[in-house]
Amino acid sequence: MKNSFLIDRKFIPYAMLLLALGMGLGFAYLNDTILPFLQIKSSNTGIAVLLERSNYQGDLALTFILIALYILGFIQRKKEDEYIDFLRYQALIKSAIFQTAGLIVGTWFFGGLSFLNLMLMNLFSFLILFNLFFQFELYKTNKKMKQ
Amino acid sequence: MRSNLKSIRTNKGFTQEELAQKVGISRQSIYAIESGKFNPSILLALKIAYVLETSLYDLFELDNTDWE
Repeated sequence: MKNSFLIDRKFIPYAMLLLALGMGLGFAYLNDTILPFLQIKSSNTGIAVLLERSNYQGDLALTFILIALYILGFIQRKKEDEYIDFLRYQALIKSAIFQTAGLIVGTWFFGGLSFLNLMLMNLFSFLILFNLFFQFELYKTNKKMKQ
Repeated sequence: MRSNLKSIRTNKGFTQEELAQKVGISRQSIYAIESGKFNPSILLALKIAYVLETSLYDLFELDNTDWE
């Protein structure tokens, strides 16, 4: 079964590399360690004013992590077929439900900076939940098959 | 929908792995169809029927819940 949106398995190492790089850059960014070549020199002119930031490290970290999670979620399985497609579809629906529920709960119980942090986490949550649900369903099927 | 795949497959002497290979799908799919967790498309059902040299009516049966 061919799906045009699935990504070739040869990209797995690149995704892992991007994930490691993104997480590294992200942790450094959260600890206020900004790599010199990612800093914007004159923060009061040009694109820095337009984008309202003094460096690109956070943006780069987010981009790397999101691309890596997307690749890992939609990588081709060794044997792609209808059932794998069905599991993927179910995982997508479940992650949409969980993310929406999380957003509603967050809206009611978080405020101020905590709400902003929650929204930041929410950027990744859909792809993380999708990966978790999909892998868990595959694991469950494999486990039951062995019994 | 009730699946008779397991009994027909074992009667024909196929393992799940062998049938999956012949049809060109994963072993998980065969398991999921046999256990009723997943209903295959017409194309996949026809392929399975072809490999097992049987008919769709023998492989799958409608049950009462399908009419609800």
